[in-house]
Amino acid sequence: MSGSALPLPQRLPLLPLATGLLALLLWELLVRWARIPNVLLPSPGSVAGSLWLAAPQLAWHGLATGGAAVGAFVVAVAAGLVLATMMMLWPLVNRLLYPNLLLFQLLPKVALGPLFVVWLGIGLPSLLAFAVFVSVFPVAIGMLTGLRAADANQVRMCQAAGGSNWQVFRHIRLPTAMPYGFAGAKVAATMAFTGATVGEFISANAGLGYMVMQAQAKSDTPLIFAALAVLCLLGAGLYAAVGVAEDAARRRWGTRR
Amino acid sequence: MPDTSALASEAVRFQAVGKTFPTRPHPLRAVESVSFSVRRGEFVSILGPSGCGKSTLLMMAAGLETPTEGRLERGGVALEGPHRQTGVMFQDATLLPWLSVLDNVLFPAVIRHIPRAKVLDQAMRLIETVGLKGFEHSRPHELSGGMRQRAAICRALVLDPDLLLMDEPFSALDAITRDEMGDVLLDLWQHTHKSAIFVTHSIREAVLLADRVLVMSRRPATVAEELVVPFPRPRSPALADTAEFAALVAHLRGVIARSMAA
Ligand SMILES: Nc1ncnc2c1ncn2[C@@H]1O[C@H](COP(=O)(O)OP(=O)(O)O)[C@@H](O)[C@H]1O
Ligand SMILES: [Mg+2]
Repeated sequence: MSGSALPLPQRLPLLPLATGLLALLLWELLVRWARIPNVLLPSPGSVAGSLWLAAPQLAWHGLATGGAAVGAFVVAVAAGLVLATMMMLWPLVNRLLYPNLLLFQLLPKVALGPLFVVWLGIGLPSLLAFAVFVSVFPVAIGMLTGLRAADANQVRMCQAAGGSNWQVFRHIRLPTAMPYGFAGAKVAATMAFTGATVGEFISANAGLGYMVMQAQAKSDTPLIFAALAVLCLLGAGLYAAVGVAEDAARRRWGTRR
Repeated sequence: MPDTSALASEAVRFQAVGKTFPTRPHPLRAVESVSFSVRRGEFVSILGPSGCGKSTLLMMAAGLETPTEGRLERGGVALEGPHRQTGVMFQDATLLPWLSVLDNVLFPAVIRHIPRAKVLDQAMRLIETVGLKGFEHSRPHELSGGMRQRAAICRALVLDPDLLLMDEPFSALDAITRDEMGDVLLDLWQHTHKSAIFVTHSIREAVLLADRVLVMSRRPATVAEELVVPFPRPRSPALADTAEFAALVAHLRGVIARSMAA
């Protein structure tokens, strides 16, 4: 199956890494050869220089964005799980919420950002609320889909053994839903960073999104790229953390098939 | 709940039990006025055309469906919901893929909040009896179909129920494994003296295992014929190769054909 038992160095994706490095190299050569101005497209080298020079600033603003995104992610996952559980256990809640949830899922949610500023003002509360708003849907819908995917015969078997609704939920539906829940959480991890950054574009005085806006005003394109690089790294970090949690959960509860 | 079942001489009693599903546009009459009872320690096989209502009958006995007419008693008391002393086997083994064989067998104890230590010995004994020793920690997907049904038998028996309900438990297996499983069940049952209702399509299986065979009519299911199996116990699988056995099977086949024609 998956090579998760292999030592770490062997798991590093060498080939895609090589492709990435090659692309960076070509990029560097292209910028030098065509003498593209730094404002238009900075070379990887000058972005690296920016990363080095602005490191303290990047760390500070990265912490702000990372904190906001992780906080929003945690809240979104918790809220998504609660929503899915309530919709599963109480049909009325499901009928009240599910169609609306699907509708919201279809909306270009990021476009609603300015509304949060209107309601909650400029600052952390509106930013957090917005990041939670854009990331809660994939968790809720993924989890609900998983809870409903439980095998009808297994549910019957559990009921025949005397299982209550709650026990059917706990022992049949929850284990079935786990992979779906984690898939939703992975989408939520990227959405939380999207939400936090867009929130900072429109309503913050800290964070990488704010930094990007500042750098843009000063036409410091290398710094924009440096901030985006840190953002990618943070996003990948949260995504990887969810993956590690999923591996651990599957090993613990044995839902690996 | 006080266990009055010891006082009753019948494990289950159907009294004019009927079941109509509220389907649209026409309600579906699945079971019609079924009356029979299973004595303590008696093994009753049920034969009948598919779709006639056998599963519905069994699910009512399991407390998973409620009769729309008549009365259903379990150990002398009206049955309300799944009974602690009833083990159920389905056509599909319905093992939980994320649990080991042992944890699957112990599943009813988890649901009934019985400490693992109390039933572990019984579980291991059953696993050994059905020939699954060494596979306790395997996952269901690592087992063959026959082995999965063996694990399902252990799960149905782990809390030492006094009634075993089986809904075509071997019909998804190939013919050879199927006969083998019938023999395993015969052996297991003769050592435990539980009551059982066994729904099957195989006349050989029905006769080899049962004290009594009920033949159901087409839907809605009623008891069309009843036949007492005279062979003494303990029986061995070799019984199925005797002329007397073949004669009874042939007779039963005729009975079924006649009841279907009617
Ligand atoms: N929950 C249900 N709702 C509606 N109809 C049902 C339900 N369960 C079974 N039936 C119908 O009842 C009839 C008898 O089904 P079943 O008891 O499964 O038959 P058998 O086990 O003898 O093959 C079938 O026509 C089936 O479609
Ligand atoms: Mg059936």
